[in-house]
Amino acid sequence: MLKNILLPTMLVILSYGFWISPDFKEISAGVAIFLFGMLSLEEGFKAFTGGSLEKILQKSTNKLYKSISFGIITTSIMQSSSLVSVLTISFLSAGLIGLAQGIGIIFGANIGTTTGAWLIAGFGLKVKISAYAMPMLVFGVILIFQKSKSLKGIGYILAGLGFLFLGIHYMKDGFEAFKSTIDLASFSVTGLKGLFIFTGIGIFATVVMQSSHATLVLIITALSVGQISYENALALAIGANIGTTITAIIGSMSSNISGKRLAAAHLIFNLTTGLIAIILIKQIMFSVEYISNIVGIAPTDYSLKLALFHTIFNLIGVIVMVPFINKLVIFLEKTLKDKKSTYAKIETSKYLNDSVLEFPSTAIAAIKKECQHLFNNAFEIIVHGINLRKKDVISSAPIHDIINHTFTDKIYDIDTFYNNKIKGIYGEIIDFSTQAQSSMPKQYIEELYKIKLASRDIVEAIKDTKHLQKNLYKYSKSSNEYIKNEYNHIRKELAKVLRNIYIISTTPQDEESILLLSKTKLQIQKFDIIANGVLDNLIRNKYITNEMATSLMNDSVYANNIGNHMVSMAEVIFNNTNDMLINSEDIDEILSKKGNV
Amino acid sequence: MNITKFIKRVTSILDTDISKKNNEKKRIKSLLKKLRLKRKDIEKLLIPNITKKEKKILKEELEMINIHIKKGENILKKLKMEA
Repeated sequence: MLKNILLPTMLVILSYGFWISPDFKEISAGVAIFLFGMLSLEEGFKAFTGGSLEKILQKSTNKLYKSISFGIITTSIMQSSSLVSVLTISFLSAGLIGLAQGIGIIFGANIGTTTGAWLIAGFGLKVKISAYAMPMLVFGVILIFQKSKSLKGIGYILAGLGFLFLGIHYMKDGFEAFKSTIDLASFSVTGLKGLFIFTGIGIFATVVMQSSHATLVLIITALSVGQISYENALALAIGANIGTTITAIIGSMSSNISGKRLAAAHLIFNLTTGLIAIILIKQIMFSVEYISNIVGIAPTDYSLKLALFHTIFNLIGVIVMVPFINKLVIFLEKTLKDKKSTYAKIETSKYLNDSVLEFPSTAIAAIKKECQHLFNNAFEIIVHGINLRKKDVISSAPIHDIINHTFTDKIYDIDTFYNNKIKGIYGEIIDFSTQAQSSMPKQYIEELYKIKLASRDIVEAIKDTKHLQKNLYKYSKSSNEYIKNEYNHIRKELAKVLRNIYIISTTPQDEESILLLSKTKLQIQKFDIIANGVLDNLIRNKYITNEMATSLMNDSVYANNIGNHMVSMAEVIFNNTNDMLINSEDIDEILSKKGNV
Repeated sequence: MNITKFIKRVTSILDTDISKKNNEKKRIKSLLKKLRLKRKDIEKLLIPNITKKEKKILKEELEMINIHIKKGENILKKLKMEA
C-alpha cells in the first residue's frame, strides 16, 4: 500500500519543486544524470566480467596492501576520491571485486585524495576532469553502437563516466546559489565549539559542492585572506573529508547491496578518521609543526601545513582502521542485509585454479567439481523457474503436495539469476577446459569433452526452463481447469526428475545412483504427452483451445528437454558406471512389455 | 625434467594403467553384488497380495536391475579378456 503511494507522491513533490525552483530542478537533474552514469558504468564493467579487466583488478587488489595502493594511485591520477569510490562501487556491484578489496581501495583513495591538497596548496592547481565529460559521452555513445562486446563495454564505461561528470557539474551549478551565501568569517569561533562548528561547515560545504577539492580551495583562500584561523581551517578539512562520502552514498543508491555496504564503509571510515582527528588535533598539529620544520615548510605557510595535516590524519585513519577491515566486513554484512541476497554478486568458479592445469587428472577432477557447483546453482534456478520451493523438492514430502506450494506469485527472474550464478561459472569452465585440453594426453580429452557437454546440458536446461516458464505462469492462473492441470502435471513430473537428480547428486552409493538414473530416464520417456495420447484426448474433446494445445505441445517438449539434459548431465557428473545404464532401446523394450508404447 | 614428465615416467614405471583396470573390476564386482542383493529384495516383495500398481512398479525396477546386471557382467568379461 505504502509502496503504491510513495512513487506518485515523490513525483508530485519533485514536479512542485521543479516549478518553484530552477536550482532544485538543476540539482535533481544532476542527481538523475549521475545515477544514470552509475548504471551505465555498471553495464560497461559487466561486459568485462570474467575477462581481462577482472583479472587485472583481482591481481591488483587481491592483497590488502595492493588494494590500498590501487586506491592511492588511481585517486592521485584522477584527483577525485569520490569518483574512485563510485567506480569501486560499480566494480563491486558487477562482482569484479569483493567487499574487503573495495574497502581497501577506499582507504587508499582517502590517502590519494590528500595529493590534491598538496597540489592546491603547492601549485594552486586543480585538475578539472569534468571538462572531459562531453568528449567521453560522444566517444562512449559511438562505441556503444559497435558490435564488439568489448568496445560496447568500453563505450558504456566512457558514457558512464561522462554522465557522472555531467551529473556532478549540474549538481555544482545548482548549488552555486548556496555557495555564495557561505561567509566563513561570520562563523569564526575558537576552542572545541569552533572545531565542531567548522567540521559541520566543512561537511555541509562539501555535500553542497560535491567536491572536497572545491572545499579545500575555499578553505585555503579563506585562510590566506585571514577570514578563518588555522585551527578553523583544519576543522573544515576534517569536515570536507567526511562530506565527500556523500558522492559514494548517492552512487550506491542505484547499486546492489554490496555497493551500499561499501558506501557505508566509506562513511564509517571517514567519520572515524574525522573523530580521531578532532580528538588528537593538538597532537596532529604538533606533528605538522615538527615535520614542517624538518622538511622546510615556512612557519607562516599555512596552506602547505594544511595539506600536511590532511595527509597525516588520513594516514592515521588508515593505520587505525586496517586491523579492523575483516570485522568491518562482518559488521556491514550483518547490518546491511540483502532482501534478495542471490542478486548480490556474480558468482565465479570455486575450484578452477591455474596450478592444476599441468596435471590432467587433477584438472579433470577440478572441472567436474566446478560442474557440480554449476549444477547446484542451476538446480535452484530450475526449481524456482517452475515455481516450486527448493526445500520441498529435496524433501521426502509427497510430490502432489509440493505442487501446491508455490515459490512466488510473480514471474521468477531467471535471466538475472542466470547472469549472476551461471554465466560466469560456465564461461570459466569452458575457458579452463580449453586451456587444460591443450596440454592433455588423448585418453583424458574424451572425458573432458563429456564434462563440457554436461555443463552445456546444465545451461540448456535453464534455457528450456525460461521458455517453459512464461506459459507455466500464464496457465497456472487460467480458469480452464484442463490446461491448468496439464501444466501442474508438467511441474509434478519435473519435480520428480529434479528430486531424483538431487538424490543422485548426494548419494555415495553406486547402485542407488544407477537405478535412479535409469528410473528417471524411463519416467521422462513415459511423460511425453504427445506419444502417450494425452494431448490428442484434450484436443479431440475440445477441452483446450488450439492456442493452448500448441503451447502445451511446445512446453511438454521443453519439459522433456529439461529432464533429458539433467539426466545426461548426471550421467557424466554424478555416475561412474555409464556403460551399465539403460539406453533408449532398453527403455523401448521395457515400455513395450508393459504395452505403454 | 619437469613435473609433468616426471609423473608420466613414474606412472609408466608403476604401470598404473593396469592398477586402474583392476580397480574398475573391483568396483563393478562390488556393484554387481549390491545389484544382485537388491534384485533378491525386490523378488521377495513381489508377493501375491500387493496391488497391481505396486506390482507393476516393482517389475519395472526388476527389469532395470536385470539390464544393469547383464551389462555389468559384459563389462567384467571384457576387462578380464583385456587382462
